[in-house]
Amino acid sequence: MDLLLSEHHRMVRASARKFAEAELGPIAEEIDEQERFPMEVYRKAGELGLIGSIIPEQYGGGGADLLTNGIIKEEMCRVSAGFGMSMNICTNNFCYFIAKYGTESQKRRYIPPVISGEALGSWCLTEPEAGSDALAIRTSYRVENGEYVITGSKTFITNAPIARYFIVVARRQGTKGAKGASLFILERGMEGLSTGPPFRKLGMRCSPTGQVFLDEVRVGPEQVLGVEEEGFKTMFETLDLERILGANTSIGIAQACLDASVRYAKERKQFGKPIAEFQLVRNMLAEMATRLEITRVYTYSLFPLAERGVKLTKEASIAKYYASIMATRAALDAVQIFGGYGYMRDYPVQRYLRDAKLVEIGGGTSEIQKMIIARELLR
Amino acid sequence: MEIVALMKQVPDTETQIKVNPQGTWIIEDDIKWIMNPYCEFGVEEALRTKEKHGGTVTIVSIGPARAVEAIRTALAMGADKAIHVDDPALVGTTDSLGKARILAKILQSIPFDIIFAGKQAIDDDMAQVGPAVAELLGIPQLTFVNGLEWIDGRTVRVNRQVEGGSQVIECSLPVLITCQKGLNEPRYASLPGIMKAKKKPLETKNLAALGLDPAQVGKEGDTTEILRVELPPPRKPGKIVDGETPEEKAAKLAKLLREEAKVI
Repeated sequence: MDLLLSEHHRMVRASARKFAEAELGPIAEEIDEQERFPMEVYRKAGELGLIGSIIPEQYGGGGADLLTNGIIKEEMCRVSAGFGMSMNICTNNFCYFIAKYGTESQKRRYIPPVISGEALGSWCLTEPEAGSDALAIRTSYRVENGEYVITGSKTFITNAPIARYFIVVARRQGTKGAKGASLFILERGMEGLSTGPPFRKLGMRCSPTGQVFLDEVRVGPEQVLGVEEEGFKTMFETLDLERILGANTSIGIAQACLDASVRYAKERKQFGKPIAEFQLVRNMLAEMATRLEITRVYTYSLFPLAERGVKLTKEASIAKYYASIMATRAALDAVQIFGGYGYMRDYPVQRYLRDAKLVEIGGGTSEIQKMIIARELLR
Repeated sequence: MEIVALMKQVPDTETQIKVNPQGTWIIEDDIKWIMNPYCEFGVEEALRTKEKHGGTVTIVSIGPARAVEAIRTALAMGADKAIHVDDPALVGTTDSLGKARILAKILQSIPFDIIFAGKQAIDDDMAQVGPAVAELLGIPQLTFVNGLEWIDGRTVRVNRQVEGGSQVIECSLPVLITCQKGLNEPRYASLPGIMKAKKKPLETKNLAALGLDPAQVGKEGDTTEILRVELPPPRKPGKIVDGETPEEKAAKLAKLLREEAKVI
């Protein structure tokens, strides 16, 4: 499969894999158990240019294509999905977003500290009453003497407990529907901004998730990101890419499941022979590999299109939805192949299962993806 | 300083090796290839030398077209340029001496102060190419080096692993050093490094371009022939000592160690 890739992408994968296995591999269980984000690895990833691969060179990035980032995310997720997810919020939802829509001074101020691995960014949309229904957000702002005063609260925000920067979606008071939302870049330390403690999660436990509270946070127009009151439109423009990258998380986890399962099936002996010789085990391996490889090829094929600005609403949802059920299936089967050991927290396959489940929920649930796919079909 | 790193692409250590039906070499299809880990220590030391003294790092590698990937990796780590030798006459060559002659020929045409090579390639484990290149060039060689410090810009002090201890040698340049594990921790190819590597000069030359005769350095010039390649025999199953009590088991074990294993 990798032979379909260019030499550049193969080198990116080799380097990212080497990094992930050496730096994240030995601590992957520990950071899951302790619910600790490994800042020391994040810094090293920054030094290696892994966080800012797709950011233009003039802001300190690598200037690589979008598939490069997809491969990097996949390789991080193969070893520690939580780390890959946290890092990707910084790469895609924070830096790439600012690189695309920010002003020159916003790019200079916010991109370098994040891609160098010094600070984390976050993307704050979800609210207690607005999940899948994003337009229902209640966080609002009013304009007073040229200043913006923002109030509300956000929840399930990846990186929130430790992030230095926050892109916040808020609605201008009195507006409804698809119009009226603006995006603001906020910083920890601004008066009125605070974050809650990390949530206790089923999976993705090294990636801190929490709430963001905004109590009359007052900022100037230099903190507005993109066109004022066009926040939803801007956001929806980036959703395709976010969903395609969601598929990469699943692909990384499923690859980890397959690698672990193949290795174990050859080692583990029952009835005097390796369990890999039993047809029912082989069936699981074959199913896992088939679904994984087809998902990977489909997902990779979308990146060059996204790069050219092709609208991929249906395709991105197909990739994200299918990859997520493919990964949970792979993880369930990996646990099954490992048997009793698969259920033990001393072995990583149970972590793959806990991590995989999130991708059916975060970044748009499977149900929402299917609604979108059907809506696009019936247009 | 002109720094050269000799590098070979080899099968990944995690690749499952299969022998070809003729039993003369391994099946090379479907193998993942990597930079020889010992050569990687050499590339890393070459880069550290450049960081300390300035200069350029040139990678020299012999191999088919696929070897370019390992060469690009070395360029992505930070090497400046590369020379790649690829010629149909080299397919299936077995002699280390022929390879050394090719490398020496290249080194006679470019400036160098110090040359790094792996102590051996992990595929055929010959450990001959580095020393032979030094001999052909008539320069000193320091082999199996697992530690290196600079006394001044023209003198190195190295640590060599020897039976039961280590040996410390000082040597002035030019010198060829073959690298052993422990010398350094090779860096990862960074993303900007990978991007830059594409634009770095990589010259592929055939034997004619080097003025070399295939009859001397190619397959037909080989003085050795690989007769057979076989996988190591599978490990014999262990023996479990049984018995009712620990004393009984220990007695049986002692007996086996003395009479069968003959170790006590």
